[in-house]
Amino acid sequence: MIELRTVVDYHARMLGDHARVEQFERAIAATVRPGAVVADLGCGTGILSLLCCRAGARRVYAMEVGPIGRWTEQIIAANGFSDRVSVLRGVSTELSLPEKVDVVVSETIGCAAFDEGIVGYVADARRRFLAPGGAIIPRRLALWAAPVSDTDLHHRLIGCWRERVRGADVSPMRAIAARQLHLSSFVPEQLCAPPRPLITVDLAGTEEAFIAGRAEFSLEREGPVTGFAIGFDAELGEGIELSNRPPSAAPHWSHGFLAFEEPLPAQIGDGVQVEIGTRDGQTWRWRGRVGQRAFDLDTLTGRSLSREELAGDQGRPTLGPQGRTTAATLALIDGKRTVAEIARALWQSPDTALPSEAATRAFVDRLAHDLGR
Amino acid sequence: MMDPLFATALHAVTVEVEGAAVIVDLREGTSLALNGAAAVIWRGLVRGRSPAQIARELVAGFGIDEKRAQSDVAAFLATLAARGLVRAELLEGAA
Repeated sequence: MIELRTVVDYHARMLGDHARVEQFERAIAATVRPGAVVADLGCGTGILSLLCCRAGARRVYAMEVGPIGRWTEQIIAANGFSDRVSVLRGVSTELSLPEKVDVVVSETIGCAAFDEGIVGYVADARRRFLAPGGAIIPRRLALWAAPVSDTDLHHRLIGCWRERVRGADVSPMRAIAARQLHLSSFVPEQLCAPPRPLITVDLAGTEEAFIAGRAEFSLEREGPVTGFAIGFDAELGEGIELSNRPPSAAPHWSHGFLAFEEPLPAQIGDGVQVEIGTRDGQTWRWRGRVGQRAFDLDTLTGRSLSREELAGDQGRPTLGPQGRTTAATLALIDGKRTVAEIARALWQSPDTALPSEAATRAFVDRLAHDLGR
Repeated sequence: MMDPLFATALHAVTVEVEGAAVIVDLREGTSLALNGAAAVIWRGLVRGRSPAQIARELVAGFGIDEKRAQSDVAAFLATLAARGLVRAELLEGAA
């Protein structure tokens, strides 16, 4: 559960990132024409919606699914734009708009560019909301990466799971820890080579759920190499850019860190090859070589999926023990049997997963109370 | 050029689900559960083995003759290539 203070602090940091707000203000001023209609995906406090109004927007549909959305209307009202901004609570992909928009704006840019799902949100908004010839802010988003050598950081995030804690073995978590998208803030001394671009997405055109790219590096610092620092370059408008490309960072963003399971020894001049791909910023895979040593990791394995989770929407769900017990109980509630009779019949049924007659009676009581009349 | 060691597609991720190997296609959002022989073939590809080497593993592991093993490898590679999960040129080595 996300604590409220975390939400408040998070948005305070975003608003305090003046470069972020100023660059979006410039892009909005250059794009939003007087009388324009705008969709603001993931509007947060509504700051970009307000800037769109100032640029002359006739109507802004400000969409927010997160808890900050409770206060967005108040912020809009405090600025006198309630008559022009419609705050819609929900995720943009599940909302409908009464009219087409001229501009889609979204600051759902994550520390690793795509990890807040911007590609999917914008692609959906482009298809359903955007009028022909409409504009998107940001226009392009690129993922950059640089090899990292920092064994202390690697130990704090991954190696630490090898250590016993008061005698307890927690090592099964090490492989899981290596298969996460970690966040960190990198300084030049941690990088073994200058960052290079891997993936560039044209947000006005891409339909791909899986985006990928590759890069090669020649090490300028001795290893061991412990993973890759990743960050973004965003083109918000013509000549208007925002970046947390490592090692530089916008104040609000950290960097992503895709680690190796073990530090890989390497010398100055060694080659590093990497392929990185992501499905809408939620699942990541990174593989390649450091010198002659191969690595191949992904965050899907790090989630330890069950069969049901893997099947997702394509699965054909079946009832588990609790579901079978509930279904059998509902079938016995026919308006003729008493609760005691239902409980007795259920206890004798092969479909019950309940451990005792008393538990069966309590279960039937609760279900009859909740669902019966 | 990236190393040709990577015969399998970047978007094809292998996961173990309840003890069984499954290929998850991150591009299509689909998955392919592997039986015992298919899992041996896929893991061989992930490790950079050639189709001929994998066929020999099948002979050793499943007690089938070499011709049948080569045929099984070629058939499964064709399935994988049709789904875009391996480089198509692997088929040339498996015929």
